[in-house]
Amino acid sequence: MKNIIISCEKIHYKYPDGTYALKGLNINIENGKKIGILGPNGAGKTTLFFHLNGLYKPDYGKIYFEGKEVVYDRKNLKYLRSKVGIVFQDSDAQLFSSSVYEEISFGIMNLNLPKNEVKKRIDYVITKLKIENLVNRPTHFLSGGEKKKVAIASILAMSPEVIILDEPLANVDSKAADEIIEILNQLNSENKTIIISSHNPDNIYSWADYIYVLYDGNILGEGTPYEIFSNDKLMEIANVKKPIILEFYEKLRDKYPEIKNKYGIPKNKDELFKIIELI
Amino acid sequence: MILIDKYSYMNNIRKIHPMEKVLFGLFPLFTCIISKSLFLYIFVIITFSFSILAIAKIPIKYYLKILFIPLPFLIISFLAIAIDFSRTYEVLDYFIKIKSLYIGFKKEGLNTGIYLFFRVFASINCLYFISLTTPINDIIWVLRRMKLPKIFVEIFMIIYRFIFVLLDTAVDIKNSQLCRLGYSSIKRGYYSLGKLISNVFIKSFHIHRMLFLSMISRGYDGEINVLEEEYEYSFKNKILISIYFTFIIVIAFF
Repeated sequence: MKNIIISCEKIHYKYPDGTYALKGLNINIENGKKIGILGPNGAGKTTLFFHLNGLYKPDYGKIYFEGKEVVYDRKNLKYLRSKVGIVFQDSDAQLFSSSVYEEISFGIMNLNLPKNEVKKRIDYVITKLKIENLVNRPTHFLSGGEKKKVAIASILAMSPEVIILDEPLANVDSKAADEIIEILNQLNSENKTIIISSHNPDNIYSWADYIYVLYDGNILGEGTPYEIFSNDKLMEIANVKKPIILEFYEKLRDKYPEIKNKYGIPKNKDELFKIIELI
Repeated sequence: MILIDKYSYMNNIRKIHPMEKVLFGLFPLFTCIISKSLFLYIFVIITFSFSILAIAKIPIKYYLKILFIPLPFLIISFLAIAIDFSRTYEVLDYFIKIKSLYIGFKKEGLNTGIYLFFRVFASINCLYFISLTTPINDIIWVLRRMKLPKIFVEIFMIIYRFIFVLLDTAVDIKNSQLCRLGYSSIKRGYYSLGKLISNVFIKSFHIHRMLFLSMISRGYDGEINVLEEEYEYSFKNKILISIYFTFIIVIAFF
């Protein structure tokens, strides 16, 4: 039996204009995994995320958190939101305070903890994300990547079990992107469930344990990164490009069929280089 | 980037307790408004220019530049108060004659004008000291300590933050319009400006919606509670400020 932390059962969600954003979607998110969500714009990724945190209530269907059905009252929502954090795509729309320290303290202050406990957790998060140098600067002096880190810190301070990041690597330079990926891996090693959506198949392919492909309000496919990205038909419908590492490996395998049984499928650049060297 | 905002974060006395700085600026300001001592005004102007330039280390070029902003208004009001018109010259102390009309100064008028000029100049110096050395974040902190209604502080906080977000949006839109010749003629310029304003407006709605959701997702329930940074009062500053205030009172009322 897998350890499922959040699951959605046939959820439908209708926008006020009558179009369906989610059409009977089922998803079971395993605890402590790195989950990638792929899908074109308008597939319903953000809408799905808003359901997982109780921001949106499904029109039909049920959502379960830690095995219990989500109840939409104040107390239960507060619990759900303290356990499932969302880092929004647009940091500028998430950060409301021009003081970095106050921004980080916002979510955790809503948990009604004693002040010294709040302070301790904020300091912990600041050292953990190595953002000591950002705390004394106002939000509008920060770059895209720095704002994203502050947004992550403000979620992390609440110490959620599940952290959802909507396009965390958009508007972020590659150094900051590496640092953010590093942070996510570190959090995952502490048994936190991380869910990210991304347009960038290369990042998702090397990072995720398990991938869902979302298309037109439904799950079109799910599986391990290799299963998903080697399914050409799926990729074509969902309009996703194949990761360059996988594409290269497949070309290599066509030329040297013997490597198929000798080595595993490379997940990242280093593993691919190793195979090339050994040929 | 708004320079006055930048300097408020990057001056030499940024780390000093905000309450000390705000009090140091406000007390002389109110004394100047109440008092009628020309010597006090000049004393405040000199000490505050010194604090801004030598202690806070604001570049003199920028300081002079912002001092010139209120100057036109000041000169106009000075002239309006000081100048008198008359048909006879006896009431005027200094005058010129244009046809049958005498234009000139009365001594009291001139005096009032000079007093006004220096009083305003001194007050502006006090306000500039606060705005150049105390970031808005710290002023928000002070407002909270002064027990201002929470709703005002929250609105102030969010407006301040989103000035910069919307300013960035406006600059982006303006550049994208400029590189497509959006402002090549006056007519196109008005058209583009209209589009820019309406787009910024729509963007502000979008951001408002996302901000609200992001706050709810972090457990917001009607009140923004944040943990404030702590500042330390310095005993030395307290003494210095008290001495300075005593000086001001002595000059103002004796």
